[in-house]
Amino acid sequence: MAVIARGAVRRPSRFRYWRQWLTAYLFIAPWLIFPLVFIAGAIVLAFYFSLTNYDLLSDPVFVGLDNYKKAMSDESFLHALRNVATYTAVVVPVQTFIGLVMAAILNQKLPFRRFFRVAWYLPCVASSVVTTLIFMWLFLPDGFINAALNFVGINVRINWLGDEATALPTIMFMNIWATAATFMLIFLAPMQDVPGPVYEAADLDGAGPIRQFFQITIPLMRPAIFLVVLLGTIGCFQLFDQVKIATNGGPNEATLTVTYLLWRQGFRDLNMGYASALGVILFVVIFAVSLVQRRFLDVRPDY
Amino acid sequence: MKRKSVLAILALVALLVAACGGTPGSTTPSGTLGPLSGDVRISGWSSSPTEDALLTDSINAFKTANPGVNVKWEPIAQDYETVLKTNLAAGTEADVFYADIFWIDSLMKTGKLLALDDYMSKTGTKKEDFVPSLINAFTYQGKTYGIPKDFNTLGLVYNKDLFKAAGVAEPTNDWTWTDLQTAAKKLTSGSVVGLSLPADAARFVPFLWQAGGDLNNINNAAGIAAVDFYTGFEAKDNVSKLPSELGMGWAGEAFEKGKAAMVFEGGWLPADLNNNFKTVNYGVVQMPKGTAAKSNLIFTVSYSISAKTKNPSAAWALANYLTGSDNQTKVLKAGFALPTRQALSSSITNPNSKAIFDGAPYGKPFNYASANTGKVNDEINKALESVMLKKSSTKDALDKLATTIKPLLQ
Repeated sequence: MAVIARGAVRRPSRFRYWRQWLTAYLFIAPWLIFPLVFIAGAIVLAFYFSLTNYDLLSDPVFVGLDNYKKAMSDESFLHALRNVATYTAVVVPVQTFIGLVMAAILNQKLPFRRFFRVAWYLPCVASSVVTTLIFMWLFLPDGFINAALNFVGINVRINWLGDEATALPTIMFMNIWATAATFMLIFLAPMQDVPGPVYEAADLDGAGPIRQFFQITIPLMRPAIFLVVLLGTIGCFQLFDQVKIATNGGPNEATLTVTYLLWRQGFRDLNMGYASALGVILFVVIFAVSLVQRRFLDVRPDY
Repeated sequence: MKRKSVLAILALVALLVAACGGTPGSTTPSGTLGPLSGDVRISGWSSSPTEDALLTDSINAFKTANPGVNVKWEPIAQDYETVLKTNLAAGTEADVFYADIFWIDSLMKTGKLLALDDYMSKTGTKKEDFVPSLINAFTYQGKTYGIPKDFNTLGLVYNKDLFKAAGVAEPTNDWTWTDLQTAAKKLTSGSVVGLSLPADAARFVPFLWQAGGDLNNINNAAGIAAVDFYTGFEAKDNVSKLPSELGMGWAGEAFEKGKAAMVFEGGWLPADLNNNFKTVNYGVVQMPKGTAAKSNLIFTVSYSISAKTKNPSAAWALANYLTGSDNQTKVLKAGFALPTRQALSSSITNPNSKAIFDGAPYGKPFNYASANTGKVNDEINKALESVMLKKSSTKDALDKLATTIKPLLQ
């Protein structure tokens, strides 16, 4: 009896504390181990491999910063970086703006609003491989786009994906079409949170719907816009699947992107060291661009 | 359990024997492999269900002859080279696997493959039985690391109906470069081009050799002549278009859809035509004779054995069976691939297959830059594309190419 009573008043022992700690960690272990090994572990390994020459078949050889030096003078890499920068500079503003406009339209009390919500969102649900294949058919020299242009009297036979001048813009178009709706969805929620009285006041002051959109909706949605621009930029810098399927980086490297080059170096040519270095550089670039964007865009809205 | 450890010891002994076998003076063991047992995993790609069924059938025949051996076919669906090399890095590769001449060098050099010579002598398999250019491509520092399972060269595949419509005489094995040019011009009309040449080293390099050029001096007169000839169809005469310009994935597709009257492809195109485009009336002849010589490119794949296999004798027995006369005759009769054994050349009756087969004696294997062939090809492709799309002159493109590929060709 006495023993039990003494035990009952004692504060949790060290053993008990550790046991609770252990139980807690055991419960979250599946979620902890997986990212630790396959995300954190992989990132650390990539940093290490970026300092080596590694072809999978023989052991990695430490070469210091050679891979980084090689990247700085690799014409293909610099070209890919320029391509991706151009691509991002066009795609991010356009898709953000289109997403905003789509959200604003769907935020109105329109007939068939639900139908449009679903219809506009559908491209995001389809796999990017499938949409890319469909676009490849549409953009064939004898495809639908040229036929449509001819039909309205513009007599051209453009090889959209096969011509250096039009290949990258065509992929931009594809991606804007496919992703604008995702961002529309992100915009839709905060747009509904903009307080109604603000619009009423603007109405009384005589501001029309377009002025309201630019002077109320957009400023009040800065956090959402920041999020969309950030996600869009990261996505654009990582452009891969459309290029892999539609053009393989061609013609004449016109659509070569950093991630495609990274894949080619790593998984086709098995230069894992160099590919890792490209990955690290891409990480640094995206990180830096995100910081700059944050400086300019991440401002709390002031009601 | 006990049986497994005995097997492991046997395997070790066999490996030791294999390792010692190469030194001169040691007597090479003769006789058979002895009773075979255990598991053997074999992996490769599968290009079509029919080809898959053919291989499974051969494996079953092997199993019937060797009831103790349990063979497991593990095809790799895509990115074969990457998957295999990843498996090799992780040590999980199959015992027997396909190895393409295009990248086998990196495996031979890093000791990932089993030298087959001792096993060959045990079963009386002679190197001389195979087409020399094929078996030599799988030889490194005097040791054999793969037995060619089949091969391909390039042929001039032409559309008989388009030739008839344009009133052009069908090509022959004696065609010259000039014949090709004349025909391409006559065959081009409307949406049909006479020829579709891709910006691809795997099609261009035989032309380089036909002009007497070589990769080490690609910007010399012969190299310039070869590039001018190859790109001239598109850039100068407008009688060839890149497959991508025709909206096609590869030149063979342009041919299958009747957009190009002639293409240079290997036996894979006739195989696809026979299966999926039965209405296309085609023929195959050898590549035309260049200004300097006849030349061609040889594509081949081997059965190779992992250096780490636990069951080398059974693995070899399987590879030996699959590359044996009986099995190769069976594959040939099914119309799939060309046999790699010299003795079987007389059993090729189809003139189209014969044209592809006859490219071998004067062809060179598709590993001209050893393990760097892929990278060299990339650079050649870029140079060809820039000339074809008129972004650069032949001379400039080749001068640049010569500098970039120089370190890769060492």
